[in-house]
Amino acid sequence: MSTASLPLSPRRRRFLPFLFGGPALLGLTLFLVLPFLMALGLTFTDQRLVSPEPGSVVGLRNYERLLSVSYLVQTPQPDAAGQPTYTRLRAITRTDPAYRGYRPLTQFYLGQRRVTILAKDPAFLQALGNTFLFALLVVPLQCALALALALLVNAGLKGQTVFRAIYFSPVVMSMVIVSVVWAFLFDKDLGLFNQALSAISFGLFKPIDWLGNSSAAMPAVVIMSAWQGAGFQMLILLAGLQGISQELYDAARIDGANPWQRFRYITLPGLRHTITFVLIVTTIAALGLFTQVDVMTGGGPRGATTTVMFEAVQRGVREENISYGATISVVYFVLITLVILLQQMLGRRRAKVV
Amino acid sequence: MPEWHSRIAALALCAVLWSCGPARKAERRTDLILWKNQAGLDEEDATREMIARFNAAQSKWRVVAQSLPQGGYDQSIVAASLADRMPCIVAVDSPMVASYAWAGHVRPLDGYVARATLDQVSRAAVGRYAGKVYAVGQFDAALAIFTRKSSLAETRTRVPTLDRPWTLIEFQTFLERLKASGRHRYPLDLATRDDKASWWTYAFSPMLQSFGGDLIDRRSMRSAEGTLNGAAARRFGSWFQALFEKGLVNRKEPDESAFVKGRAAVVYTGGWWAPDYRRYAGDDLAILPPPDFGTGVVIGGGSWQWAISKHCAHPEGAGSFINFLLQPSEVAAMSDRTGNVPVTAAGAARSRDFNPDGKSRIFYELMERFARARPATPAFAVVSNAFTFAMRDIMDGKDVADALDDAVDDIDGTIADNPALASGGGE
Amino acid sequence: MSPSQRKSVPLRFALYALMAALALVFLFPFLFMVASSFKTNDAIFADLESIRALLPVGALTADNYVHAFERGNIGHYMFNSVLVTVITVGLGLVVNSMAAFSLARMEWRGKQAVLTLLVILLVVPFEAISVPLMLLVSKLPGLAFDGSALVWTRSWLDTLYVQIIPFIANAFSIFLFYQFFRDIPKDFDEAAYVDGATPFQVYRHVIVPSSLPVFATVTILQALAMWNQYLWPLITVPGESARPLMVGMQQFFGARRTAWGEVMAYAALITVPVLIAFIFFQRWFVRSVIGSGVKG
Repeated sequence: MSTASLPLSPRRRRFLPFLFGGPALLGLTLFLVLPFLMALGLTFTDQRLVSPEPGSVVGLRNYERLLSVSYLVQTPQPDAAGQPTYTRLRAITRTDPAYRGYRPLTQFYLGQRRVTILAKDPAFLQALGNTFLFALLVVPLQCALALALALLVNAGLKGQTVFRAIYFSPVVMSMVIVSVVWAFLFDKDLGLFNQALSAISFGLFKPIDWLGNSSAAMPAVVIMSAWQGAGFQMLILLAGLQGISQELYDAARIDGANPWQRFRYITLPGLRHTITFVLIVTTIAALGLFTQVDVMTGGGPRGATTTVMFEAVQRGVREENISYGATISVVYFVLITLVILLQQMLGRRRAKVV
Repeated sequence: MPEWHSRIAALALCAVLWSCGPARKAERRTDLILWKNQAGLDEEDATREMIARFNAAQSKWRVVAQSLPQGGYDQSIVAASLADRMPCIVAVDSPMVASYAWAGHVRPLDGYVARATLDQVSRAAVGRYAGKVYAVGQFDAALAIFTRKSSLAETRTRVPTLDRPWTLIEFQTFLERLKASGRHRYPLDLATRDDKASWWTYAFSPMLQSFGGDLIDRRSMRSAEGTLNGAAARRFGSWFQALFEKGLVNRKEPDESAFVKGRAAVVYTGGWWAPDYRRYAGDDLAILPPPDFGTGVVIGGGSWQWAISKHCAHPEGAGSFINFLLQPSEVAAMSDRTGNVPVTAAGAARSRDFNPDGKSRIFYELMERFARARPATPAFAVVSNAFTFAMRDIMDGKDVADALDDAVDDIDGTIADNPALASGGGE
Repeated sequence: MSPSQRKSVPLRFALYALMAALALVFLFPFLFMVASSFKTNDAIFADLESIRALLPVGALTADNYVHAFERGNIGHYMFNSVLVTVITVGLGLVVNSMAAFSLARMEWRGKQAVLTLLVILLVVPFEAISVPLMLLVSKLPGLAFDGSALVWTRSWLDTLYVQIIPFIANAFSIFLFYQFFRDIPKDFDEAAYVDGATPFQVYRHVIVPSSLPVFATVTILQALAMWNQYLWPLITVPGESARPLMVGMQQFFGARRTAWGEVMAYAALITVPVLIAFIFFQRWFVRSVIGSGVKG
């Protein structure tokens, strides 16, 4: 990496970067870092949104409520009829001080014993799982779609500007309207999806209750989100494609490279940084999923589509418990940061983000 | 300097000059700022005209209105309170009155609104907290069962009246016969498509109350144990769950017009749909009271109500405005314009649609006889969310007792964390 | 990709067919919105179950648009939104690209830390900071116009400031610029420095002209974000004088009934200019002819 030699006095050289970056850093510090630190401070209190007094400090109570996990093993006892039954879970959790405040997260059987994993906030843990699952599904789908679109609209065909606008239009549409249309598409009996799938499979396909079925709701949200966000990523990839010099392609063509080779040896490497960027940004956006879920499923059947940010808004704003909502946001943030830092350290040899 | 530099400077200057705060210079009159929720074009028009009439009827005060979207209304109030920019007169959604009163955003109406006037207002339309009146509504709404007379006839179902409503069995039989006829995908539309807590609590807690349960113990306002998860509540939950299991109700109708399009034969919703339904069904439309599930018919009560903010410099002005809008002529005018139900008998008598011979009279009577306000607790946000999520989970198959127990734990836990929330009891 | 004149006809046909099929997939809510904006509420729902939802058929009316202008006050809200968008994006382009320049082209202590911090800041979702930010801005002083004079206000609430200033510095924009700048070969920089240029001149005359695509991208994405701002102005701008477009749309969502026709018309009026501006900005997407192909 060459260092551009700056013909300036050493003193000026030290100040200049801050002149360039100063305003931005000031803005970010004041309006992003500072509120976040305030939110962090909130997590140690019991402050509510509407309240006659300021909240009091409660230490780590919010974190304890959010993250506590436990387990309970039960063996069956024969009931009056001699059938082996298990004591009702809530009868235990609502009375036994050791399990006070816990709710079931999942249950499974080890032979005769019933093991229940308990958590004080199973909705949050479920949301955490959903959020990561969602990101895992939507990122490849959306990015692949975006890449395909970007390549298409960069191919030099006439009228591609209009197509770019068309593919971009979902990004611009109001989420409320989009959800009205998609809710109809996903309807079990009237929706186009089921009708199309049924037609293609000659009636073999049974209609899925997309938004009402716990297993189908998340895929439905994934499809809709990928569709809505692809145009956004397409734009960024387009900018990256523009940055690849045309001469490279011309030289390759002269050398006799076919389209696939040109793609593999010129386009992909040239886009490497952009693709990494797009992957990261899409992942971060996916992890912050809120509006789609809020409007389309409201957390989905039995929490199947609840996400971390949805929980944060429900608890923080709608239930007026802003300190708890802040706790959710902070924990989520720390988790993601750890993932990013991990990726940084592991990816030192390959394409690094920064 | 380059031209675009000066253009940007000019724009920036414009921006600086444009930012105006809501402070206005008073003329001979004293300005009273009013905040209300946006509730549709008709209500906006009607409110604007009412304010104009008030301003014209006296020369001491001038009410200046701002309409805020409902989505961020509570947060806007909090923000305004922090910045000392609260309006003088503020519209509050009735379940939130206790919260605002507890937090000190609004003051009691005692002394500003005439006692005699308040006494004439239907009980559910008065916002009380801890024994004092903090808000009063000019109108309310009424939930009813809408169906077709022909549907009743072909299932040989008795037509219920306000004095003799359906029992649970009669209602259930009606629905099951409709389903058996095969003509309706899901006979009953409960508007479960809307998953917001405001609808679920407003629509379904009255049913819970009719079964004999409640959202919280209204005397102590401290715990929901035994009321929200007692035997009566569990019966309600089981019945509710069965509606979906038996295919009588669609979990999520794709749009609001199931009844209009014939997909549903019965719809449980508010009187605000009456004009559309009349257009659709004409004389065949039947507007019926909801069933008596055991302890009497109950419908939701309390809509948006008017309150005076704590820091209002001229509460007597705000009071005179509220007195004005509670006059029978004003109550009638608002109701006729918007279709909302008048809250005083005198107002109803003067109204075109709600007088004893008016076409919407039934909504007035439903409200008058059966409306019950939601519990006046500052913890209402939690109560409402807990109830809603429990009911939604029940709809999706969760064990009824478990769902209700979890809701109770959420409510009781929140109140235990903030004991000051257990106030306002004594109903 | 190869220039179009070198593509064979069947290939071009296949590509066009593919693009058209995809276009339909991406376009249908837009078609639904436009078609519905000319229908009454009843007609919208009557048509919803079939392909008629996408087509402007039946009894069409322009009433919804009339309402949007007359009752909806859309002209005023649009002015606010345009002002907020233009100022935020304009200042943002300068501020953020300069910050990216200092990260990509200058050496200074703490740079790596700031870069990592930047990536981390990308993670902070807006809902996490909206309440504390609201608390913060409700106490910030500013200038305001009181009808006759400039006065100090004690709070940024209900102004245009609150919609602009917190959003000028943007971690996403800085990052996007940074990634792009990194890919520009340093040869031109060095040549300029040898000729005695200051860093600012290098920024202005070397980096910026080579970065038109990314400037266009940032413009579009930031403008979109500012244009669509909803949650933040909803809670911090309760009044009507500084109200932006997306908040203004709410008035058609009544307490219980929604005036869908007007909503569609209003939404169409918001969306179409954005798409037109998008097409307009396309001409900045010009392939660069940088260097002799030494990349990466």
